[in-house]
Amino acid sequence: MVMHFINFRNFNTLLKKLLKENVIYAPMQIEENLYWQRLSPDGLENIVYGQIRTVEPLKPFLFHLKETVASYPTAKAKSKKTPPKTIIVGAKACDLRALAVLDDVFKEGDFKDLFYIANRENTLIISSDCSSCGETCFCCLVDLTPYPATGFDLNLSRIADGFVLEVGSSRGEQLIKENEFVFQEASSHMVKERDDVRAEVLNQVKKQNEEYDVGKSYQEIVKNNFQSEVWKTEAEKCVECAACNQVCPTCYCFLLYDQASGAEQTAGYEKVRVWDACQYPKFSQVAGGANPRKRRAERLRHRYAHKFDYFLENFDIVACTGCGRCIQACPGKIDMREVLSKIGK
Amino acid sequence: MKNPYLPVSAEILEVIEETPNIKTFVLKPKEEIPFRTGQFMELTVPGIGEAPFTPSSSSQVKEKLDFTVMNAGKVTSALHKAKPSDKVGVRGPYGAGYPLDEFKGREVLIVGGGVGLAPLRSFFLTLIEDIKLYQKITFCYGARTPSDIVYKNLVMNEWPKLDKKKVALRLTVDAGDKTWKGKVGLVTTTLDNLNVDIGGSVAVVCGPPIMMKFTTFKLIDLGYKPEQIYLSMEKNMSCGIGKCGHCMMGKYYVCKDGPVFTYDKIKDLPAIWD
Ligand SMILES: Cc1cc2nc3c(=O)[nH]c(=O)nc-3n(C[C@H](O)[C@H](O)[C@H](O)COP(=O)(O)OP(=O)(O)OC[C@H]3O[C@@H](n4cnc5c(N)ncnc54)[C@H](O)[C@@H]3O)c2cc1C
Ligand code: SF4
Ligand code: FES
Repeated sequence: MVMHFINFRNFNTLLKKLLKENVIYAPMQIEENLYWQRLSPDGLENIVYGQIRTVEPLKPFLFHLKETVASYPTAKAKSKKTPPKTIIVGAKACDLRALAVLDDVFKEGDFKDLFYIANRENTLIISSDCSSCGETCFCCLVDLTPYPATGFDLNLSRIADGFVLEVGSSRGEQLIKENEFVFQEASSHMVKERDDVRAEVLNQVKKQNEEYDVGKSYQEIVKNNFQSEVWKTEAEKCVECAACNQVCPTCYCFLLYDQASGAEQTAGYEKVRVWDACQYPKFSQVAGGANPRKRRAERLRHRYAHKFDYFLENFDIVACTGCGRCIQACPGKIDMREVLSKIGK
Repeated sequence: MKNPYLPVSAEILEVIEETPNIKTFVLKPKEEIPFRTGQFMELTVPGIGEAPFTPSSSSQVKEKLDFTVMNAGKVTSALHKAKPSDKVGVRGPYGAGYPLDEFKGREVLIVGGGVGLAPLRSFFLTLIEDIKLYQKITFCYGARTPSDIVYKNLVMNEWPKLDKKKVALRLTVDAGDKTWKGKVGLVTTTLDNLNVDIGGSVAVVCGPPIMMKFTTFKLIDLGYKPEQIYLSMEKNMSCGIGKCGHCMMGKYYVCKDGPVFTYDKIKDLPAIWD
């Protein structure tokens, strides 16, 4: 495959051009962390291409926190405003795994979520390599590297004078074709420079997680230790806030509710899809009070089993990205790596 | 592409009071919604919410759909207030339904409790329309009291008239009253002295969790293999289309992979009866 190179100035020129027809979001630093921020033409310098993933996942761009998914009895006329084309710059390898998981849920099967699909088709993904390893990062334990292998339209790898750029889709290819003048072919020493950085960061992540690696797959650990006491002792720390679910890039559970449409509409109703969370006590409760996951331990176990076993069985991909957001967010300080290594030992 | 969240409008043609807390709603959807017996649908009470129900009418009847609903909470109580000519929404059908092809040439034992009779009525009606395809049907039904029996006319008057060589009915109530002359006892007692070729039959069970649990155990005692027992799993549902995660039972989405499962598939999963 041909690798391209683009220098910083040219890349900024390209972004400025793209800003005319797209809304662009990119990681920017606020205090210690990175957050997705909307890019403005005079804010190009604020983009952080390297470091690690943002605090929030990508999922709200595609699977909105709250979305009206049907109006009835008569379908409301489609709003005239089509959403602007969106580009995400600086998504990380773990973010891309999450998109693959969400794609399986919302794009596959007999029923398709048209809202997710529309957002997905409207969004171009320009990912980038990580340049360091966050305290809670453990991508290497879920078979990922801190640099993207698939799932991007274009990927940026920072080297001294610019980016080595890899094409991951026909849309990415198209973008390069349309802007040929700013790209050149990457030389082998550029690619080598990229690969050296990659190897070093991968090493960092591996080293940090050595202590958690018990030499078994997470699927094995979850599957073979369903009755482990650790589920109970760890769940004692859970305060049922569902922060882990909310901040998880792959958690996709939702609830549909019905309400009267807003005042500007004629009499009618709508069905709204909102994020829901399996760590809430009543998530699985039925009328009459029966609940297969009454206890926190059962819910915690379900979350892990879903990510590492059930999803893998159903879709052939692990529904955890090793981003460590749940570890960072948990007020009970429940650390997924710790839980799994304790159980797996 | 079709939006799977959008309900089809349906008019309530008739409301039949079955028991003090169970009503059957006869609906006429704006467009026909064909289904296989055992599949379910999501009913929307406009502005109030949605809940899953299995049609209780035969899958051969196309222009109308019956739903038999127990008053249990928010959506069902709103539904119970509905009157003929009111409108509701219907999405579906969802799930796999009963594998009728696997039942052909065999005996079918049906065991139902309470409002669990709803899907079983659809199933039974579908079976008797093609009765020659099946060896024999034994239908066991238990209600709490005589006034809790749903489809009284069918159960007490119509179905007993069916060919006795093909259809055996066994009815029981947990507690009788002055007028009750039939059998008294839990539904599991109707499984005593069964006249069924167990090896050549399937057992189809639907009812409250506790009833399904003890019925399943009794069937196993009688010599049924787990793969011969078909259970309707009632789990919390929202989307009905295998996405929202509410109904998960182990790796299964009950709404998509079920709601009917053979016992061998689920017996080792946690908390299946809760
Ligand atoms: C596949 C399937 C078929 C069913 N068929 C019938 C039927 O034919 N007749 C009948 O009377 N009942 C049936 N039920 C049970 C019926 O769905 C519940 O009684 C109903 O959801 C209760 O809703 P509610 O809003 O009144 O209760 P609430 O307790 O207020 O519940 C709020 C919401 O939680 C969810 N929920 C609560 N209980 C259940 C439950 N048991 N199953 C699924 N979701 C639930 C629903 O989304 C519901 O709207 C069926 C359930 C399933 C899963
Ligand atoms: S973030 Fe922690 S405390 Fe909150 S629900 Fe998840 S595990 Fe429980
Ligand atoms: S009800 Fe939503 S996944 Fe089954």
